[in-house]
Amino acid sequence: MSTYLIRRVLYVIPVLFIVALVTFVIMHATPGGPWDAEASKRTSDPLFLEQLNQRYGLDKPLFLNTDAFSEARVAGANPTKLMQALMDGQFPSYLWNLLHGDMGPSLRMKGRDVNEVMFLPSSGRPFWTSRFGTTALLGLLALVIALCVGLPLGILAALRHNTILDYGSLFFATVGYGIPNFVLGVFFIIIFAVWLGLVPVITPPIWMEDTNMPNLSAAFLPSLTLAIPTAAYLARLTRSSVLEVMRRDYIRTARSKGLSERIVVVRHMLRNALIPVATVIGPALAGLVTGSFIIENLFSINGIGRLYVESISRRDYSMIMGTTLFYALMIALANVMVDVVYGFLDPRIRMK
Amino acid sequence: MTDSVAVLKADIASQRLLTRKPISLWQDAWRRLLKNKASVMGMIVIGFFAILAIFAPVIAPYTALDVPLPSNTLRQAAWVNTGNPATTGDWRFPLGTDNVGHDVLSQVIWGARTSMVVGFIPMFMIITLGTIIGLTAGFAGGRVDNLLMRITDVVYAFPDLLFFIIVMSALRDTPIGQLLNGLFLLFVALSVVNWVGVARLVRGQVLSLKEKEFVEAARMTGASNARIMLRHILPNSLAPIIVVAAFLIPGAILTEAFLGFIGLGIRPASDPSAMFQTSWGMLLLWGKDAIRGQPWLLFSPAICIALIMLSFTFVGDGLRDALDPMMRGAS
Repeated sequence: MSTYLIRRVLYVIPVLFIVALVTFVIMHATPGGPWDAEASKRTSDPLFLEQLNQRYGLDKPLFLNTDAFSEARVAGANPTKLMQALMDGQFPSYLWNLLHGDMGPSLRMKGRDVNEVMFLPSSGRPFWTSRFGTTALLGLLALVIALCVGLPLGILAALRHNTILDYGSLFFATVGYGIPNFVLGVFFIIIFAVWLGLVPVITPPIWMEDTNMPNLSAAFLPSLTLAIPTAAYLARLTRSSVLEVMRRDYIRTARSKGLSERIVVVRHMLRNALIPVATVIGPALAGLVTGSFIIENLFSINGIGRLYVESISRRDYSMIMGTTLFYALMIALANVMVDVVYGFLDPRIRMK
Repeated sequence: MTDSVAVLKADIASQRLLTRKPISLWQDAWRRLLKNKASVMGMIVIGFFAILAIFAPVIAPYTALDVPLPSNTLRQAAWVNTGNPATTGDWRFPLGTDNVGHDVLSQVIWGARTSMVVGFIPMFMIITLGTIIGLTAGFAGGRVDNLLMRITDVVYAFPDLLFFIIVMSALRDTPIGQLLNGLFLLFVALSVVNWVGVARLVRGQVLSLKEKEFVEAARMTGASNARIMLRHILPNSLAPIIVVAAFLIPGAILTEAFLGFIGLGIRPASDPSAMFQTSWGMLLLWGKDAIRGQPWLLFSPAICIALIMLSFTFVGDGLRDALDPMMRGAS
């Protein structure tokens, strides 16, 4: 089991490497640079641009710095120095800094680092009020809502098979899964905020200004919107899984032993039926993660998702790189979690 | 004795009358699909939007760029009476206008065109590419097959949505990114990600069908490899390919709406004769700031996206049940 686990966790590294490489190549394959957006607004002195490029290392070759390598060789440097000179390109240095937890300065937010913007709160507030903390809070709340709605709905639908309850939950599952959640979010805002006036149209800060505790009433609608597709998916899966288990012989055996209905349902039915459900919690988490950038944007919440979308429109390359890697890491970890859970539940998988 | 023979003959004759004409697998599937009410509803809605999409220039009162009203009027939907003659609804603009003065109904109709094209064209590209590669890899086996599997591993590792976002944001201003108002780039990005799943599916089908008796029989009659692939293996793996195709369409429409909503979808047209002028995702983005004063700006495209997504999901579910009765009710 432990070698399997280690193998799955190590698998994240090549995935992140590929994501970083592809992102880097695509972003640098495009004509123009990060300074172009302001080129028309100010007189861009070539010397000034050159200094900017130097400051951010954009004058270096993209991958291998062969010039520095041959210079160092002429100067007769030792192998370590030679290697360092060769690796002095933009991509290798980015990776090297990344390994040290440094994602570089933001190209568009003056004087701020990518790390700082993503993970540090505004001054004097506790660490969990950072953008990362906000996104994590929304994700966790959404996961809780999805589990609390999806599982009971699926179980009830199966236990009351072919009743109005069953059809109702199936309808919810189809609609919730079929309609994109940002469209549902639009309906929610219009109905609950604009027409009924139950919540403000612009979501208030998720973290209370004074106590730094989560403002649950502000976070509820965004989390619910984020949770609905996942809840619908879980309900659908749970329903079909319970329906399948209900027909098994051991359920009949348990009933014929005279066990109470509660014991049959909880101990025999649900325990078995929830195994396949447990394995989709991973993809469900990944769905919540990618759902966050549109929900945060829709509800104007200052999390990493909104930062991502904003840095795209600002062409802040280092920020795009940082947030992309962050999301890729989250999704990869969610996938690894599935494999690990699956490995626990079904020993045959580990042999492969 | 003669009596019983006569009875027997009559019996056979009546039985012959009772036998129905043989029907093919496809006719059978089609009949099952028509029995599925949700699917039929879905097909009707899709047909409706398809007509809107094809005849958009004729049906829509204006182009998506026309400004029939002076700006800053923000006319409400036709049935809303605000008391103010400048904002009260007017049946010339059934769904109201936005703050620039565009007619919302026309914009929604032009948006239908974008969504339908984004649903169908990448689907055909993906299915063609994936089927050809999957057939080749499954049939050739060996090194070709290994190469395919390695490529699929790499593509699967990359989160789709992140890939779309990066490609669309970085290549947006290049000549390729400007073809078809940016839709061409979206088609390419969707194909690059999605062909892999189809290729894997087709490869799996080929691997299992290759061992079947009917392929062996065909080979014994001297059929060439190409003939076996195209006349025997491909038709037998069509059912799962069709089901995948049916689910690729809503996936592509969702992706476009999502990208449009974060400002990375279709490029706003500047030429009123452009084929694709706006999209529902972009309308949502533009309407977002006016959500309090003019919820209709968001309501109309949101309802359209919801309807089309549900319809394609229903048709996809129906097709899966119709083509593969064994799968019915599963998942």
